[in-house]
Amino acid sequence: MKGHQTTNTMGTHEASFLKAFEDYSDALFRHATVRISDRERAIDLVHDTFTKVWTYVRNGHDIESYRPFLYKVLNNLIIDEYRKQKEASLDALLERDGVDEGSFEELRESNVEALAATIDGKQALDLIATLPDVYREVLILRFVDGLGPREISVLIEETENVVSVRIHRGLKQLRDIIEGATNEREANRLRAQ
Amino acid sequence: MKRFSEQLHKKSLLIRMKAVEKDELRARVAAFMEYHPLAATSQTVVRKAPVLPPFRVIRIPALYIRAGIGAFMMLLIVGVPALAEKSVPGDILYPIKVQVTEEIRSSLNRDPYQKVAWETTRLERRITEARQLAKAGKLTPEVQASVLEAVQAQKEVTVNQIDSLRTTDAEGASLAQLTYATMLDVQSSVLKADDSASTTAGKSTVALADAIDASLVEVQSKDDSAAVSVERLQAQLEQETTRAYELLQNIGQIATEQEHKDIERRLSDVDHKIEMATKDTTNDLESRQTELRSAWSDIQKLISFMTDIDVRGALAIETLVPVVPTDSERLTLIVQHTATASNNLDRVEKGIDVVKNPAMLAKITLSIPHSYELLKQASTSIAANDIDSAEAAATEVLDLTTSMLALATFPEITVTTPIATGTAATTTAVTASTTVTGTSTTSTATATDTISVE
Repeated sequence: MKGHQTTNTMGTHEASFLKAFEDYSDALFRHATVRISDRERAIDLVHDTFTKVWTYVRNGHDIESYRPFLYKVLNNLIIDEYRKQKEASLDALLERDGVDEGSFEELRESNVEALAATIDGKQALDLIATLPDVYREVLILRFVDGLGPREISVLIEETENVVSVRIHRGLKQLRDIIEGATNEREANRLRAQ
Repeated sequence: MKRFSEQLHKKSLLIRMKAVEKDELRARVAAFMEYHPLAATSQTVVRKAPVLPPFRVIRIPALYIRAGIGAFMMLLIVGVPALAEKSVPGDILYPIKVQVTEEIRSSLNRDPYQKVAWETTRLERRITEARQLAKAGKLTPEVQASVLEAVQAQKEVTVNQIDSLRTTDAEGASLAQLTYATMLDVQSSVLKADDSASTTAGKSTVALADAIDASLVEVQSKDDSAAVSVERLQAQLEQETTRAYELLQNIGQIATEQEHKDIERRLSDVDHKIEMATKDTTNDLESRQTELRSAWSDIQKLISFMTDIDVRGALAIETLVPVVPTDSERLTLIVQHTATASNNLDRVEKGIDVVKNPAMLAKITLSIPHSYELLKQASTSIAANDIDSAEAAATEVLDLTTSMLALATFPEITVTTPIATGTAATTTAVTASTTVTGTSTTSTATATDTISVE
């Protein structure tokens, strides 16, 4: 009877893990692809994410909710990837280290919504990769993966305020980039006429 | 905001793995899970007690199996017979000793004479085993009966082998019989020596000694040793003396210095006997044969003495093979005897007054001239190099004068007699000294005291 319990417990762990794979592997792949702009490497990172989580389970740990845990592991792997590739620019590092608590305006969600409403979502995904990673990270988590500020704060181990400030500033930068790109295209069109 | 989110999300949904990529990723993750299964110990539930398989198959390389079989066979062929050699009746390995090892050795002897010699050795081994049992106090009447039976059986085999040999090699058979008789003689002496120390039940070897004595008498009654030629005796003695000298070298570590010297002396005596019988062709054939047979018997006894520790422990070598004095040693002894006899005679003559019994006085008075006669005869015989006669005269005069001294209490005197002996080339001074109390008289040797020997 106890043997059956052992088998059942092992089966439950495996089933939960496999269900998490089916539920979140695409989302994780999407997140990784947008973050690092490398499809093949993104697949590898997703693979590494699942193997690390499985090892964690094998070590006897219980996981109540796979989604945030998987994102956390993937996020760490992406950061490691940046470090390996040394792609992080000095500006990005400065942005990461120098983010303050933000102004009242930046912390208001309504202002974020208002700001987002001014941005063309169709162009945003292509241009988001040009943002520094600290902004890219939170914008993808917020708008691609659909996580709330609280979830993101837990995931990146920052306060909610920091997350909100980064989202606000990221959107502003994104809007400026999009507007800059739009203006450039308009100028080119006019020159072409 | 909503529009931005929807647009962004909608577009992001276009980023997805192909079905093949996802299948491949799933397979990689599944493989990882397979090779890294969940550890049972990490579970909180109690594990089931492991169920051991009913048997286990152990694979041993064929080389090891062959080596193991080889080692086992070596142990069987070499180790077991070696252990069996020390067994006695009643031991588990004893049948291997008697029915396997000894039978194999017996079958390896192609020479009929060697075959008989080996059967004699086997009989000797049976008697030795009986002695060992007696020493251990295990020679109970039942065991003794079985041992006697075994000895009797072996004796019959030996006698039959000798009879069989006689049909093809009469001389060899006679020699084998002589060896057989010598062995019985030695073993009988050892058994008697052993038994004299104990009458305890289980240790007595009287019955066995009696049986061997009976066998010895039987063998001696049909003695045909005269059939052995001098040449054959010489040839066999050559082999046996060589063997004896080799044995002497081998026991150098375990024998005492005195034992070594004693054995060397006896071997030297044997050599002397052989030399005398070989060179002195003036003697008749029978005397030479007798001399060589004596040498043969001595050499067999010496071999027994060297090879059998029980024989060494039970018998003095002088008892087994008495020293045969050389002519020089015999001469020295003759001179000592005559000197002692002269001193005895001097004491008798000077103290004859103490004899009051007329009968004794008459007897002494008659013996004195005869004693002088014997002393003179000894001196003359020595001069004539007739050692046997000199020895007989010297021994007789010593006995006679000693008897005269015993008839009364004669005054004792201190006598220092310088006696010279030697060959034509050298002269050796021998001093015979007698400590006498009650007088200060010193007597010088008579004319017979100084003897020149050629």
